[in-house]
Amino acid sequence: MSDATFTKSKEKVINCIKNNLNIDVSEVPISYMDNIDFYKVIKQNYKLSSETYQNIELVKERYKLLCEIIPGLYKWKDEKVYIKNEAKFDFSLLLAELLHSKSITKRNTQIRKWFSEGLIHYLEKILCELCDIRYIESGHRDYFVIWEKIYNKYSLDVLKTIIFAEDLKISIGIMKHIFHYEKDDILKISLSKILTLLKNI
Amino acid sequence: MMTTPKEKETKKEEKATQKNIKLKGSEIIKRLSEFSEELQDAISHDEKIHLLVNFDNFLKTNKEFIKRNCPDKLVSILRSI
Repeated sequence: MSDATFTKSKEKVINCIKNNLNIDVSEVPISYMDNIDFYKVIKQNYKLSSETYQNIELVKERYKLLCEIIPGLYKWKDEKVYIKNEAKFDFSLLLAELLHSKSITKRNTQIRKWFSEGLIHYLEKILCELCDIRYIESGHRDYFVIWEKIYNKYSLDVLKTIIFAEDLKISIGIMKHIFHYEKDDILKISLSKILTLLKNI
Repeated sequence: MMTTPKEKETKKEEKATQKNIKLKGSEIIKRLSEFSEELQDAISHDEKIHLLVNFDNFLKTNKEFIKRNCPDKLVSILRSI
């Protein structure tokens, strides 16, 4: 792929997000790197359990595995997208990582699990279809059933507000009303319970 | 000190701009109160979802003004959600 085509494809991703979600990601820095540098980023971004750290060989092995599995990431601390050189032409990956940069999932593991790894990657799928970007199937598709149902019943605007809301309370409020679930904190209930509640939508 | 016609014109424009900001601000505060009432009155879940999406769009467009001038109103709405 020539440099001009590559730049054009990147712009296509940025425009796709702007046109469909009205979110500007043009200023988000993107860094492409070889496996050694990416390994360093992975090490800085993922903390292993304290038990693992006692065994240096195990640490190396775990990080190597993470490095093999993960093609790219958005690092909150640096506010930057990092992508492995070998995944440079996966523009659906770039789209997902850019979406991460504007999401409300920071510092909340439950939200990160459902919203970030589920909803962001579901939006990636939808936007790739809408903008004719080659989509590479996500490893997070187990969560898609929730978002697919919400998308079919409501709209892209509802999905967008859940993940990019101005305040987390708005996201949680929408989720509560979708599931007719007002008593407990929607984020504390398990995924299996959510799947049961889905039947009522 | 005499004011030149050009200065007069500039002052006039400044006043008009200030008035516009004030008017816009009062509209924002009014809409914020309306959202609060609408959210309380909404009966169906779908209606509430629709209102929350609209509220978020409104908040994104006017957040600087709201945070500066009526943060209490915003906090009150967010608590009620």
